[in-house]
Order: sequence, then structure tokens, then C-alpha cells
Amino acid sequence: MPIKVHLDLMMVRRGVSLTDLSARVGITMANLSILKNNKARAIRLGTLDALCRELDCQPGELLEFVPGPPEEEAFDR
Amino acid sequence: MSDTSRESHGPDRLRGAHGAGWLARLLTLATAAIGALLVAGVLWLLVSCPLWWPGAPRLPLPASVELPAAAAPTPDPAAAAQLEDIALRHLRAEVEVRFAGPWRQWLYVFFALQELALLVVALLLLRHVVSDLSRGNVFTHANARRLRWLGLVLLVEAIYAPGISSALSQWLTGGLTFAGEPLRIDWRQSLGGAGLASAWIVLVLSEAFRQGADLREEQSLTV
Repeated sequence: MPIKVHLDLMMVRRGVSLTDLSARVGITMANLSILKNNKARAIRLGTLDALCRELDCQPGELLEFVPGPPEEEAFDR
Repeated sequence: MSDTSRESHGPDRLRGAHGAGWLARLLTLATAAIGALLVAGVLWLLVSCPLWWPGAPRLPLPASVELPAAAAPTPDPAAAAQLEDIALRHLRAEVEVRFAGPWRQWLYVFFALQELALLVVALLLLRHVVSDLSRGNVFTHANARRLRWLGLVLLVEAIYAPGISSALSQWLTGGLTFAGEPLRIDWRQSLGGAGLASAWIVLVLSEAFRQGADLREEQSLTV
């Protein structure tokens, strides 16, 4: 996926653990983990809003576009 | 709690998914019953050969015989008093036959058992779908494929019974006459619009399930 999520970086900068962030934004640790490990296929604007508010950052600090061929999405067809 | 707190990975937990357990059990029961019928039919097929069972039962045929006007019964005068005119033009009859050679008997029963086998296949396909329904994970491409096959099986069964089996019956009893009138296999008795409609409904549902599976994939791994 050409979009990289720098959630782990922002969490370190703000000194927030995954558990705390999960409790604050109301997203399960499992889903935050998916996001942190760049496994997510899509992110809701509400999620982005909650993360930016809790981490006191802009969306551009969380998301980065890395040019390159898109990864093939595996469908369980 | 915000909408984003809902877990997006793993199967979607549909409300009331556990309520489909009774349907799965009912289908299991129906499949077992029809499967037992099928096994019994195969066993009957094996033991009913007239070679070693001269008293093999007669087989029913969806047939009719056109009675000549001279042979048609006339209505009682009292019953006909309220009618200006009445005529019996066509009388259907239940025809039962016992074929002379064992192969004709077996061929007829074999094709009858094929219809049962199609029904078992249909129920087995449906059981898988209902099983996923119980787990709240019904919109998958695998289930869409199962429903497509189910629709095709129902379509074949709706056309097969009046078509092939009646043609077979006609061939097996070819040239048979009653009072000079030929025995006609009445395929219209078996043709059911409900069967055809069910097949098309299931085929449409399979496409709906395919689109549902696509939507589910789009939604999965969405945080």
C-alpha cells in the first residue's frame, strides 16, 4: 500500500501507549494494531479525526504517500 | 462509544445471527431424511428386479388416456338437471405399470432416484449457507457460488422431472393403447411454475450475495 501510517512514530513522540490511545479514541487495540502495522485497507474520517485530536497532530503527520506500484489486495474469493 | 470502536476485522457479527441455529438443525434433519429415502430407493432398486422378485410392485406413471366418446360415462339425469349441457371430453387415469424386463424397471427407478439425489445436493448446498448464517458470516463469495449452484440445480430439477422422465416414460411405454386410444404421458402434471420461480429467485439471490461479499471485503480492514 503506497500510503504509510506513522502511528507508531506519533505515539512515541507524544509518549502514548497503544492501550491508552485505544481507550482515548474508542478504537480497539486490535484495530489500532492493524493501522499501526500498515495492514488497514481503509480508514474512516472519524477515526482520523479522533487520532489527530488525541495525538495533537495533523493528518499529514500521520499519513505519508510513498510513490510506487500498489500492493495487490488479496481477496478471499 | 464512537462508531470506530467496532471491530472491523474478522467476521461481521450480524444481529440475530445465533437465531439461525434452528434453521441449520431443520435442514440437517431434512437432508438426513431425504438421504435416507435415497438410500432406501437404491436398495429397493437392487432388490426389486423381477428376475428374483416376480411380485415387484407396479410403478406409477404420470399418464393419461383419452377415452373415446362412446366409452365415456354419461351423467345421472338428476345431477344433470341443473345443467343445460355437459360432456366428458377427457378423463385422466393413474397408470401403474410393471415392466417386462428388469432393465426397464431399473431405468425408470434410476431416473426417479436422480431427482431425489438432486434434492439432496440442493439441501447440502443450503446447509453450508445456513451454517455460515449461524456464525454471522454469510456474505462470502463461497456462499454466492453455492447459491448459484443451488439455483442451477433447482432449474435442472424443474425442467428435468417433466421433461426427461416423462420422455423416458413415453419411450418405455411406446405404442401402448387402451381401447384403441394411445397412452399419453401427461408431462404437464409434473411441470411446476413454483419450481422454476424458486430457481430464478435463488439465482438472483446469489448475485445479491456476491455483491454483499464485495461490500464486506471493502468494509473489512477498514479502521
